[in-house]
Amino acid sequence: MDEDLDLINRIEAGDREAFNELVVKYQKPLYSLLYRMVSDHDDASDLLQKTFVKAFTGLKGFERRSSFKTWLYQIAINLAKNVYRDRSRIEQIPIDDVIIRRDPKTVETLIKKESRLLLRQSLSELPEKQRLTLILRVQEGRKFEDIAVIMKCSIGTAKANYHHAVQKLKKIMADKQ
Amino acid sequence: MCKDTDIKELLPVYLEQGLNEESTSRVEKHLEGCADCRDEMKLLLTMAADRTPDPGEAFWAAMPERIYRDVQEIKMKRRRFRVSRFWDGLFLPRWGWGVAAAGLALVISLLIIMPSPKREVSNITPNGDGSADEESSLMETPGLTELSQTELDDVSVWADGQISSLSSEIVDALTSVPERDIHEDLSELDHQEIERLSKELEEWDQEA
Repeated sequence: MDEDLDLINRIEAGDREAFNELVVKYQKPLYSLLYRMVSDHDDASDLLQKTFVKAFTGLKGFERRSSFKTWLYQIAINLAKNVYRDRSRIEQIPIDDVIIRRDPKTVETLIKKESRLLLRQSLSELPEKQRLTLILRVQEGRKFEDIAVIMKCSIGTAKANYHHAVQKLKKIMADKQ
Repeated sequence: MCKDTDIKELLPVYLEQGLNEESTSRVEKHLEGCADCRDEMKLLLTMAADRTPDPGEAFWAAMPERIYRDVQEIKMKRRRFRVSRFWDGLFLPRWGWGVAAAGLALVISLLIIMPSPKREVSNITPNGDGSADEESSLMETPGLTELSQTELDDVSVWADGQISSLSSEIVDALTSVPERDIHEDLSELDHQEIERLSKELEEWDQEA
């Protein structure tokens, strides 16, 4: 039997240890996904909690055809969509405002930081579905089959969203540099 | 721009080192000769390297307890909601109580207004010749046969008194019609009626 399903059965029987085990197993990857979507720790933390609460209070709705992880991702993405729409704008820190010491490591770090900020800002300009698909594929390492289930679309659509997202992101970043 | 979508779809897997040897060498050969895919690879590397901040061990350790508390709270609320719905279903709403009270009042008033059929019908036991026995229709009234001669005389005197008082009341009622003035009566008649009346009087006179 699937390890997650075994844990779920134990949770339904009132096993607190199984509850903790399942939360610990998925809290970090879920937080990572949510943080990438909303770009804010407080929002990501709040959404992480809400995702698990919704999952555990609605276990009867989990049909056990797809994996528990995929189901959790679906819940998290649906909850995050509203916050993401409001919070997707990321403040860009101009590099001129930062005190640069004569330390090559600091300069290198700042350049990396700046390129990360540029990337996040460019990502936030992508259409929602393309951005989510790109995050799930590249940053979360999910396969197109999983992405199709999470995004409730066909595998072909998931692949098309990915290709469009990459092309658009390249263009946005080139324009910004 | 490179349009080899097969290779482009393999790039993230190459990044995760999830390709077999054959596919890996195919991707690497393609990257050597394709600047567009090299740019894309750089972008994917930047994205993959962009780690989210770690909130710290204390945050992760507290999370299961926070979630468990919320789950229990929601379950408790749901239970309370189910109990309250049960009670709501058990008791009538206000309008239901109003209707029930009005119905009860109607039934009671009907029982008070309607004469009891028990006294009038069920206590009348028919005799053999089909006539009803009056004595049996009066539940607690003693029969005439149970009265003594003196009591019978008293009843007779009382009955005579009642009849005489009734007859005098009737005579009074008949004789107490107030006299009316003939002129007032005539004034209520119109011209044609007066003419008809005078003609009839003339005829009476002639006959007389």
